[in-house]
Amino acid sequence: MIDNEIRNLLDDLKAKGAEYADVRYHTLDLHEQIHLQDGLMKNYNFQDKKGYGVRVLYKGAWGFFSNEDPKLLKETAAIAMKKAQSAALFMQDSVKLAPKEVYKENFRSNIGEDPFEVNLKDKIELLSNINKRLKHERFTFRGASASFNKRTILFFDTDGSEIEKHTLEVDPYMYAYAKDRDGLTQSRSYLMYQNATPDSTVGLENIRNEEQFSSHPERIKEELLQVLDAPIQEEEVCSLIPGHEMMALQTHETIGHALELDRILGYELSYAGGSHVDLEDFNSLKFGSEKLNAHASGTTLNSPGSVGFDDDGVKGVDVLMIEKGKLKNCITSRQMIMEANQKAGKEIFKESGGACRAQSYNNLPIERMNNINIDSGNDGTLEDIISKTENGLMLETPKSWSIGSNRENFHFACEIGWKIRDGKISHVVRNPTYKGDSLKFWHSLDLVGDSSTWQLQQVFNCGKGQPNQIMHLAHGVPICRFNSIEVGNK
Amino acid sequence: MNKESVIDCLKNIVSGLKSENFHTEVIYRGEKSHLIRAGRNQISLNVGEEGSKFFLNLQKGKRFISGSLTAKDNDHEKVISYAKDLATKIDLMPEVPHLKEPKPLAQGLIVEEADENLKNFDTEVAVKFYEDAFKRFEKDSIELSGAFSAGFYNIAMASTNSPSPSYYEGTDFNTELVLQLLKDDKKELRVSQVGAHITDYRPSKMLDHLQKTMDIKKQTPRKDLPPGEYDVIFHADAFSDMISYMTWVALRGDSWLYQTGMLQKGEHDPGSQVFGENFHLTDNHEDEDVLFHRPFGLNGALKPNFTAFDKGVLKGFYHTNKDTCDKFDIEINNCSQISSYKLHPGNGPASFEEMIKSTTKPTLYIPYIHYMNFTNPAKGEFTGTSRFGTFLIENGKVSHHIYNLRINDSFHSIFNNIDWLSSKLEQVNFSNTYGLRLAGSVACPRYARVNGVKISGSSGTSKS
Repeated sequence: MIDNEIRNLLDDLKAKGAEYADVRYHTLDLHEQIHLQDGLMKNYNFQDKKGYGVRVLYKGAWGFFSNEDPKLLKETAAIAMKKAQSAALFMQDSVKLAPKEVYKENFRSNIGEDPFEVNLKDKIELLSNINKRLKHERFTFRGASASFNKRTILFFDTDGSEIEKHTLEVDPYMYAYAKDRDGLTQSRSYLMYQNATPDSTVGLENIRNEEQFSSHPERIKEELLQVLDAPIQEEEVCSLIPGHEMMALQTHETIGHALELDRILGYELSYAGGSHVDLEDFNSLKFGSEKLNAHASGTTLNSPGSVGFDDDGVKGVDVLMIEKGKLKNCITSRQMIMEANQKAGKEIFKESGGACRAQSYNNLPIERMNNINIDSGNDGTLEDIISKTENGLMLETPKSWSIGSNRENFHFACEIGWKIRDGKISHVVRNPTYKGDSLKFWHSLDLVGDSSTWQLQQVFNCGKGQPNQIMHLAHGVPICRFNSIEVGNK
Repeated sequence: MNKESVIDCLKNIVSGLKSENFHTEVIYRGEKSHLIRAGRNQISLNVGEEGSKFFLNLQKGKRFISGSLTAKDNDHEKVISYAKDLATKIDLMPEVPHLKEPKPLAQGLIVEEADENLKNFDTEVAVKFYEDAFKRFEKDSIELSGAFSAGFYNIAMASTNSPSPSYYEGTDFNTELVLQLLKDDKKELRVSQVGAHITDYRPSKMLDHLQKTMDIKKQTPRKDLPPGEYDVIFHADAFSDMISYMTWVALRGDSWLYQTGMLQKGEHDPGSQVFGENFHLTDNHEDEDVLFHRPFGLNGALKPNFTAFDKGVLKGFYHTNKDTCDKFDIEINNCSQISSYKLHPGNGPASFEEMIKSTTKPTLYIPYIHYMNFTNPAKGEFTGTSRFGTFLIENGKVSHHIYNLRINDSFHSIFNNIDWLSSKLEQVNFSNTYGLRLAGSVACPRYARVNGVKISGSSGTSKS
């Protein structure tokens, strides 16, 4: 029934002069979070949301309004139209949308063991077991949590798209805290990676899987104990081997955000900032070394960044952004590629990369990362890369991150570091940090691990935009080595 | 979304659940928000939302559970039904031995400070602001961007042991405008305003200030500075950002009790001198200098008049979370999610001109800090870059404008080395402007001079 109401509404908006309109309706939006700390329930939360947003393009300007009351669909559309009308009062260039294929399709996450179908007691026991195994007399506290998100979203637009998406996400986490030998608090934590192979699924089975999650408490415990008594990391310039979690952060902050087309055009200037990349850099700028190949993919399997279709109704595609170090493409939407091509006076972008997404029904979609992946290379395994490193540092797990307003530089702090000397790990270091200039850093990439080192890291906390929107996505990254990096908190 | 409807709904919910064998706490949050964004010299989005949510905390003996749902403010039956469904899971929860009986919430407090003009905000006001700004600066070859948010929100709560609801409704706006000077090395300038009433909105004041700083930017050469220690004058936008981050890592009871923050037991206990004597920070909703006057927190606790630091001496923490308080046998005493901070002013210069004129030895001026984050929270160490007009002041004049600089310092060092604070306060926005709107601002001296700030680099790129 709601389908017909939405179709009628879109017809009505078109009759009133809308150049384009769409409705995104979250008919199911569940979030469950379980958090145990020191063996006790710290928090259990179950959220049940429903709502919809109406987006209208009128006289070349966007208007958007959302509501949660299904009876107010028409009124909500009228407010969206009014907002477009007022926005149209101050426009220099009308918004134009690139052509797209029209789909009437469903998308479903490849669901294994649906956590919403599993007895709550079983889920609590699963985390309780992790929690127990993290226990140690030196630790001040430790915990394990898991969040599950399940959504059904209808997307209808005036182009004729009718898309239904059913998605599931699983996000478990474990941590432990303790005082180090100087009496200051240190932590070790672990976020689960997702398998992206065709035979793998999204569901509770990933948390049960030893390799992905359930065998890690002992490692985390052991590493935290090593950090507590480790020497402070010295300031120096050396080779850097980011672990998967750090490599994902590095990719996220200095490739992903730097290559959002709305940001490159200047739409994020007043808040998140701009980009050191300009339109004239495409097909000319050497972004990194020859070993760097980076994608914005909407097709990576089992990822929170792959949702079948973006919120423009564009089907997920794989876009090669950086090829052998050269900048070729970026993270794009229907609107921004038209603006960019017009501004550049030439066709830089041929079609939308399907990366226009909104956090929820109450947000307007903007350019968002989907899966910003780095191709694996031919430089062997992690062990091979360590063995080739004379003086280096391997780092893992982001503790904090700060990035320049044009993504031109960065400063990251990590939970743990391993000093490498003469091809071997010599000892653990405490409070490791490193910093650099983005382009110089990617140019220093000299070793890229093989496919055995490639891992899909999930990200559930990417913030962008005003109003701020938190997006879920992932980064498929191999183990890499970078040369001559400044480490230490100078 | 009106007071009577919300209060009736809460009364009906707690009355409908009173006979159940579990305790229920209900928090209602409603909003109507508008947000207009400008980019590339035009309106890039004009969005709004209307909605209401109910947050439920249930406790049965030593077990607890929480949940939330979207529901209209007159739909008590939907909320009751949801609470009963949630309660079916409570027996599956493990017992938490330290859990204590829930205390009553603040009851019967009603505060209405909403401005009807903002409640029914006409988005054309915001559109006109950006259009006027563009007309004024168009000749200077600029790219204009910014965001303007305005809206109404209400918060109410009741529980089965405190059936008389407390209710707050308020409005706020915040606006910012950024200019990028296309023909001047893409230098950036920013101006902003926050207020609780439409009468606080003064667009011409913002545009005049932009004009002033633009003239300086255009007339002074650019300079790159080497890393080192510099004396810095921070604008309130930058200084209040540091205060906000410091309160997060220093004043939350959770971070003190679990020792995850920057204050160390034994060294920084309440009563100890943590910062310099000119650092006096309060959170008092009755203070006329603060913008928003909310007498209770999102946890239902009464908001007392709270002094965080008195002449640099730490006075106490925010104990907000029930689980943590029960575990450490402490009473909930406040709510850190709703605050009205004021850093008390000093005797320093209050106007831009006075501030420049009074600065004789080489000093940096940093108006804004971008992307601040902790590098080592246990020591209060942080980093972030300057943005939107970093100047070098020498001999009472702005001599150069500076590439964005990366600061790498600690809150202990910054707040122990304040040379002076302005005599006038400035309101700085810290609101959640959308999706559970919650207004917030810090009243901060307009300028703060700090000596010996550590700068670790600047923002050149290395395209090849």
